Amino acid sequence: MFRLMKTIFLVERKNLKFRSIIFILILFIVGSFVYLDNSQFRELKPGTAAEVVALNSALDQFRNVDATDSDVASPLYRNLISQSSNLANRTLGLLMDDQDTYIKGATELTKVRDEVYTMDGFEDVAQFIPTYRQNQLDGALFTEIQNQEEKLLVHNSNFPTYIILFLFALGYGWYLLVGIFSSDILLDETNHKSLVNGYPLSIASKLFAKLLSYFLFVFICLVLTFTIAITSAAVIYNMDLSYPVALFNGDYLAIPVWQYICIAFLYLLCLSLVAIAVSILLNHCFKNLYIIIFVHFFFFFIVYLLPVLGKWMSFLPFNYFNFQTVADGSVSEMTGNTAITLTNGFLTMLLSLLVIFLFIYWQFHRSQTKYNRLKDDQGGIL
Amino acid sequence: MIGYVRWELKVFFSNRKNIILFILLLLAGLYYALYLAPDYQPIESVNKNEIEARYEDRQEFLDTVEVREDSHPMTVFSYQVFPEWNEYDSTRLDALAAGDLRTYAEATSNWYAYSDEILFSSGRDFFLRYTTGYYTYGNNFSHSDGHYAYLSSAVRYGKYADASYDLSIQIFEERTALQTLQRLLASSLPYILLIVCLFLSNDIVMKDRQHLSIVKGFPLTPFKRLMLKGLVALLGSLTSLVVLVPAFLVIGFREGFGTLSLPVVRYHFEFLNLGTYESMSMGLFLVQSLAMILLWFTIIISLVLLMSIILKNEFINLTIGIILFIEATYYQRGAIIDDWLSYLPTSYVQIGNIVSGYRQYILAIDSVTMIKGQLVLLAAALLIILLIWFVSRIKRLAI
Repeated sequence: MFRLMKTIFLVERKNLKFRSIIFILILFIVGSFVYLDNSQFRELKPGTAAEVVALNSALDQFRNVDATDSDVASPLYRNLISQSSNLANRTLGLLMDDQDTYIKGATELTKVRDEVYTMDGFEDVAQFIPTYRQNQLDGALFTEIQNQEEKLLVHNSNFPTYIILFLFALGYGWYLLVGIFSSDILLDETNHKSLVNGYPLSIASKLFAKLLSYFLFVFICLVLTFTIAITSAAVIYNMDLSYPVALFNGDYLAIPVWQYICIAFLYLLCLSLVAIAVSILLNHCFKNLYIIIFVHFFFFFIVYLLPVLGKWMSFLPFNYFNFQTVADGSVSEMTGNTAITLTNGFLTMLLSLLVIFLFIYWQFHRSQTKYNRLKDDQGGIL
Repeated sequence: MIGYVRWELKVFFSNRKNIILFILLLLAGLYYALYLAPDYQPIESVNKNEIEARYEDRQEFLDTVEVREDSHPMTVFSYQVFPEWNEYDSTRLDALAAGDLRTYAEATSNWYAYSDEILFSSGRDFFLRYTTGYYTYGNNFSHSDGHYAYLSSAVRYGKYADASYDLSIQIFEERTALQTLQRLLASSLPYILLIVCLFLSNDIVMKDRQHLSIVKGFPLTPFKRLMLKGLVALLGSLTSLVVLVPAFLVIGFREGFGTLSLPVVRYHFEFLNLGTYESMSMGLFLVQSLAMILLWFTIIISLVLLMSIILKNEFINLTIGIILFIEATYYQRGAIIDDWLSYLPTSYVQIGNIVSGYRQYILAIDSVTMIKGQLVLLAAALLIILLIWFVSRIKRLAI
């Protein structure tokens, strides 16, 4: 089997497809640096200013009354007023360059805001306030910053923010990239049937060799991308592997950057295997490259088109094809199913890999035996 | 030659991938027209209750207020600006009640102009706000969004006031088919069309490699053959516009079609983003957008042709799609932007926003203009075609 893998490597070595993937990934890394340089992605100053304006607009919905008097002021109004005073602490902290005030204001704010989501009339002001998920993520992040006495990142030109952006974009596109890249994985076999069937190997080892060589290539790509991105970020900004990053895994927690990178790496690795396996499956069903690509797209977007599916069935692999939205909890928020977490993502992907492989093996084994029987019937001539 | 084009067209339209793409596009269009378009809720809507509530509040204030020397400055300010504001609002209310949309349009135009004068120029933006819809959580540019919306609405309603066509609430809220098209051109439609074009033309050269001997038999030079292929791909990509016609008709029959003389606001940047807002007709807007779409189609198709003859790999052709998203890395709102970036063809992907000048407003630069965009795109297309001509003369590389 390893000789077959070597053959596949020798044949595919000059395939421009492989080089184009690396080219895309390098372009992506360069683009992410340029983007971070220009955009206001996670910049605290404009973000906080906009939050103040939004909250003031929410307060505009009410008449000015005495917020301490519970007869005239509704709980929602009183909550918004106390949010606004905590928000003022954040603004003050930024203005005076005083981290403690900012972080204290931020943690208090998330606590106060936490109560607003169940109050009467919340729908009227919902658009001016972050969603429950965003608030929880903020809360986890600022609490962790406070506990570890980390520095507050006011601007976005630093290592942790770059890593968040990098994994955001990579996590979004990785399934599609691997899916499209591997979408012709078995088309050669269909196009040159007699040649391939002549290999003195069982169908399982042939498939396995193909899968493994593709996976090896994707693995190398992933390692390369992570290494290049992280090293250049470490050179451009200062390496800071212990800064907390907030994510969702059933509940909201903050983990150090290095753990986040590791989780993302493992997740994307699993996702690559799933993408290749789905490609093999699709190659078995359709013989047209573009149909396979379109079906990949469909699988990727199915959770956005039909959130109901995710709501009732959290074990469907489609829910987990987008690392970013699983990790920040937005799939879970959109489908209303809190079981869609990273841990369940790993489990689901491993299980679906098992199912897909069993199915593939069964299907290809059947076609092989059918082929052999046909060959026997016709005296070995086919 | 005609025979070759006809044959290529036949192959193009019987290609299974292309048929599926057309069907997907048709379904997506119908889904949009039937489910998403009716849900569209403009921030600047015609809302009688909102006007009434505001009017009564202010009238009550004016009726009861007593301005003395030691009154709060804001009270004095309100006392000064509310009478004129309320006059416009009461005209709007009366016109709505009487169904006189022309008077409504005129009063609304004045109202928007006057409101912006107070909200923007008075420098009291900490207390005063545009319609609350702009101030959603996470919008870092809400005030500037509101400013643009108010001034462009003023221009738009001013045009409605002396329009010769029939007015309707749908036209005011930009719900008619033509206005929906215009809104889409300013958002996602260009991307969709260009990606569909890429997928449609992706294999136009590569499919021949399976039947080289047949292809070589045509009495045409490789360059001519490539150009004819490009022409076929261009026609085929234009068909994707035709495929969207049913969706257009659905919206049209529901909300009205609108006319080609409807106003579209065009912005011209001036120093500090205090540019001028003027109106162009819908027809002109659509023609100019179509010109840019055609130029983009030409660029994408010629890139496909060039890559196909140099690199001969269908996967690499798909990477052309990247050029649509390069712009997002350097054209960011709030960043300081160099002028030379406007000489890159990738800067002109957001077709509707380029034609209407909204891009200039967002980025606060005057370098991305429509004329420049068309010239840059044209130059890029010609350059690529010239490259194809050179490359196709090398025998080893031609198909």
